[in-house]
Amino acid sequence: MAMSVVHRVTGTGLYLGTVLVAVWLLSLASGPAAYDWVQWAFGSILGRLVLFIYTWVLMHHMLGGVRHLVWDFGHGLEPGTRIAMARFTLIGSVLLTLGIWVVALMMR
Amino acid sequence: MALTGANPKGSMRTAISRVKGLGAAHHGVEHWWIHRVTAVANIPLVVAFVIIVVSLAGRPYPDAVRVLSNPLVAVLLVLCIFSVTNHMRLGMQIIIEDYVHDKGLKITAVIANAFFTIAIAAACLFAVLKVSFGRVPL
Repeated sequence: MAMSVVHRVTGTGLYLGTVLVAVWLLSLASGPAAYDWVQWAFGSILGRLVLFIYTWVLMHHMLGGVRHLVWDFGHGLEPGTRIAMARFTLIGSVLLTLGIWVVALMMR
Repeated sequence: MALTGANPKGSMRTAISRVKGLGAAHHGVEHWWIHRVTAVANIPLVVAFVIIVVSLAGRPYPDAVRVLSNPLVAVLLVLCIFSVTNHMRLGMQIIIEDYVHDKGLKITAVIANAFFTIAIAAACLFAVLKVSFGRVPL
C-alpha cells in the first residue's frame, strides 16, 4: 500500500524532473556557453544533491516498476513475497544509486 | 460461466460490446498495454541513458557533442525520449483520473499533461538531433 503510493510519488518526481533532462540537452544544442553554465549549476552542491535524489528516485521507480510487471503476471502476490520485493526495491535502489555515483565521480 | 446468448446472467452488456472488448472508455486496454510496453522498453533505454550521462559527467563541451554525434547514442536517446515521455503521459493520466474528481479540472489536467509531455519530447528530440547532426559550434 505505502509502496504503491511511493511509486506514484516517484513517478511524479521523475515526470517533473524531465525538465532538467530537457534543459541539459537544450544547453548542449545551444553551444558551449549555455552548456558550461548548466554544467556549473548541475555540478554545484545543490545541483548534485538534486541529481543524486533524482538518481535514487529513478532507480526506485525502475525496480518498483519491475515489481509491478511481476505482479501483472500473477506472481509474487503472497504477503511474504510482497514484503521481500518491497525490501529488495528499497535496498536495491540505494545500492544502484551509490554504484552509479561512485562510477560517475571516479570517471571525472 | 457459459457465455451463451446476448446477456449472460447478471450482465447488462450486449453481445457486440463483449466482442469488441473496448469497455466503457471505448479504448479497450490500450492505455494499460502501452503503459506496460513502455515500462519494459524504459528499462534498457534508461539504463543506456544513465550510462551516457555518467560517461559525460564533468567532461567538456566538445566531448559531450562527440558522444551524442555517435549514431548509436543518438538513436538510443531518441528511443528513450519516445518511450519515457509516452510512459509518463500515461502514468500521470492515471494519477489525474484517480485523484481529480471535478470534471472540468480533470479534462484540463489531462490536456495539460499531454501538452507538457509532448513539449518535453519535442525539446529533447530537437536537441539530440541538432547535436547529432553536427549543427552546433565546437
